[in-house]
Amino acid sequence: MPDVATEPAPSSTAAGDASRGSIPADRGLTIEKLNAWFGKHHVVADVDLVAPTGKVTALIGPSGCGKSTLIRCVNRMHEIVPGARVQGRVMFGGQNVYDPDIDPGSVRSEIGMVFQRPNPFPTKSIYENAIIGVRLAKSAGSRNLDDIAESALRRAQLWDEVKDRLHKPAVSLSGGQQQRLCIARAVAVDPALLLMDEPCSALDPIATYKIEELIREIADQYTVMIVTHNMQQAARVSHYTGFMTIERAGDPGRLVEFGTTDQIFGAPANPATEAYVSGRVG
Amino acid sequence: MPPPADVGGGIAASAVRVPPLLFKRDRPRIADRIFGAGVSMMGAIVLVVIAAMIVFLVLEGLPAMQHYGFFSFVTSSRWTPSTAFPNVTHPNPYGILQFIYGTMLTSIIGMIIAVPLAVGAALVITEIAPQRIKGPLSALVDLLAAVPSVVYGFWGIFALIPAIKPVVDFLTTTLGTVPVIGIAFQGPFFGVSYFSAALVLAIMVLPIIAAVCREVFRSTPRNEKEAALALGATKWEMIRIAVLPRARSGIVGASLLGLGRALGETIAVTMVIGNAVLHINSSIFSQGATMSSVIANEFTEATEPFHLSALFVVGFWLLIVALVVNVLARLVARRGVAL
Amino acid sequence: MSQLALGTPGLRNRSALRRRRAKSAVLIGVLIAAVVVAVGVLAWVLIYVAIQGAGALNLGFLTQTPPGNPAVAGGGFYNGIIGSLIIVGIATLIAIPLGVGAAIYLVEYGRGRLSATVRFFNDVLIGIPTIVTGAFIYAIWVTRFGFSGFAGSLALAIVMMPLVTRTTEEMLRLVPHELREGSLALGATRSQTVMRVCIPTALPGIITGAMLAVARAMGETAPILLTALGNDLFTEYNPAKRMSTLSLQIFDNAVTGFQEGQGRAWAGALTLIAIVLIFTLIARFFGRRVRTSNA
Repeated sequence: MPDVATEPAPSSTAAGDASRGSIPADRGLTIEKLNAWFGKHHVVADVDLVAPTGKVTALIGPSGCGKSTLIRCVNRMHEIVPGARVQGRVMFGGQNVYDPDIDPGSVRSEIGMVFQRPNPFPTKSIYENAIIGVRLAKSAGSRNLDDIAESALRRAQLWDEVKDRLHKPAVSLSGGQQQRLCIARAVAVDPALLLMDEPCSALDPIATYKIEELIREIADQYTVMIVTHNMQQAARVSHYTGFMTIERAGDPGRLVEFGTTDQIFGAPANPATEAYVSGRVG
Repeated sequence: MPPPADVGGGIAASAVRVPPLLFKRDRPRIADRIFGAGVSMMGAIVLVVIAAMIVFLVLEGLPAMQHYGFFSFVTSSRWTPSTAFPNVTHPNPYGILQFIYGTMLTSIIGMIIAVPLAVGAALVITEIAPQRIKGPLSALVDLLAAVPSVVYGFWGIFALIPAIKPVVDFLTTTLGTVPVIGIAFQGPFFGVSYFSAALVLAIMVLPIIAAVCREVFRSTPRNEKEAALALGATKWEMIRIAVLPRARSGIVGASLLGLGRALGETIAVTMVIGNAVLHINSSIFSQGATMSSVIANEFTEATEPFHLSALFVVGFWLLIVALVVNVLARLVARRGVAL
Repeated sequence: MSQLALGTPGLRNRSALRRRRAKSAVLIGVLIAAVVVAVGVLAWVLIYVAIQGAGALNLGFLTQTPPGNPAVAGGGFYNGIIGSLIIVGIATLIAIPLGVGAAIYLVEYGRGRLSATVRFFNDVLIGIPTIVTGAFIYAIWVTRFGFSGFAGSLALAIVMMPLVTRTTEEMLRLVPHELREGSLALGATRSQTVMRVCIPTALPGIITGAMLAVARAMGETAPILLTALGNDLFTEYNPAKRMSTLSLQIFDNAVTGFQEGQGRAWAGALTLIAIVLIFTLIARFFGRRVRTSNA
């Protein structure tokens, strides 16, 4: 049985890293008092959340309650929309990613993102897509590009299907394969955090199953935060779950409850959570 | 069910990826800033060019304008460079009224011919033609715009003018004898004339007007067309009720765009208008000149005092007229057609 | 709506309906006549030029310069063809980077009033008479450096640039936003995203727009008249000197009184139309395939 702790234990990170010397205790993801706007429209309000390192955290809730906006605030993707604004802190690696001195690009290169609809680059081959993160933003270090590509594609459970046609265009793949390619692209740069915004919503059930399997496989190597409107999916893949909702139409989304997946689905403390997970609202 | 976690939710050695100690601070943001500044400057070139055009045409025209006075150009229709002397400032031998007249006359007649044809062609392409020939038909009409001006002029001299001669000769003997308006239709017709230029202009601007009208008609909401048809309207009635009313401002915009093009067309006009620059000729079948044709015709041989400068004055006025018409056109017309 | 005879169905209204149908048929016929006229004129022009030019068009025409005496037959427009290639070539090298850069500005970087103004006046620039453009280049360049092929290139670049900007902007806007997001999410800068994702994705359409601009430039005569001036005597390869273009040579020879000169002009016209049409058709055909595959 998994542990039944109702609170994630950030200090566990320190335990593992203590041997590395003077490193900040908390290197995981902590969101503090996060608010987000699109122009005047307040979409996310006062979210406090700690995503346990090395675990999969799911964000569930009805559509339009700010889940996608929230995770886009983590890797500073929210602000690319004209008029978008963020307030609050996102601590990652011991630093606030919104620190004015920090280049957003360097934050994003340490965080992988997978989008709702697969978006491989159409003019590039499968191989090129896999390693493009390295070409663009993050150096390969001592690793060789072919190895990076193969390792990423293996982790995305796509290698066997594409190893003989690495230089074919990425768009020649099926939808599910393209999404796995996007996952490979994201993990190729060795990010510490993987954000997934409803990664299966545009895919058929078989492709969805393959990706859920993939997430379970890589779960112990990455910290993953996944937004999903599919409760069963959340129950299947995540260790921890956060429930977000809005009170009335026009209100910003709030994080109403956060706990282990078992607890959220089995014994939710908040009536709104209970109403959602039991299917009475949604 | 999530897989079993280690005790304390911990990490096995270095299995879990952990973010770096410090995010890089000043990445190649400098390169990005330079790139942004570079493309912004390229964007600004358009504004600089238009402003520079106005400035430099004025500068080159200044000697003549200062010598003869700014308004004397547009109040005289006498263009006689050979009577220009450096110490004589009055009368202005470079009156440009007849060029303005020529430009306006040829463009307006050209538009009167082109607009109905273009609207008709666009309606056929969007509403009447069967699906399969819409594409090729529209490509053919567009192809009219690809033919170079000099080819139109050449064809105009040797093919168009001989073809219209019998018709025009007939008109000069009939319409030309009618009292009052007959003055505008009198012969003799030597082929090159305002009218011939207007015809060639009509062909040249038709594709532009048609292309914009096509986009305008295509954007008619389908349910309005279907509503008309469902009420029992015939095809023409549907067009008249559902398509045309909404398209009014679009057609106006398209026509202004075509007008802008007609005003500035040079080479084809020069070849078929006759380049009679002395004064305004009252008949549309007589020879004439336009602002653009006189510049093209006399530029390389402008040796008289203030001649070249006076041509720049013509160019300046042409630019102003073209700017005004094009600005109006773009304010009114839809965007979305690459012309 | 009152003109629609909406009555109860029945024998009474059949004649009214028939009248309306007849009127519709007639007016539709008139509209079709309009298209027929338009396409008919196109056919007339193309066929006439083809007939007139075919006689004089031969390999010699394409490889020889005109005879010194315009009344003599034979020779060709080799110097004009070379001039066109050089002048339009240089203009293309200037106009395409500037035009694409301006489009990148409008799509990816421009904000607010300034970018709206730039876009508006870019469209206005497309409509400026090319003779005025030629006069402008004469004023700023030829008065200082003399007539030259390069001055002609400058004038043509002003003609081409706004066209390239316009079509490139359209193509860049067609690039799905998700691709930009995907690139940014990997940590790429905006310039990297533009150059390595957006431009390659939009490239087929950008090339189409560039080809159309080149076709337009090849057909221009007026600006060349005032800047490169023309050279009917020998083939000039140096863009710093006076040069002729095919279009200008056609013009000069068409208006002479000599039939031999005119014969050469027809061959030239046929050559020019062939080049322009081929470019245009390839570009449009290519462009149509792009639009359907990207949509």
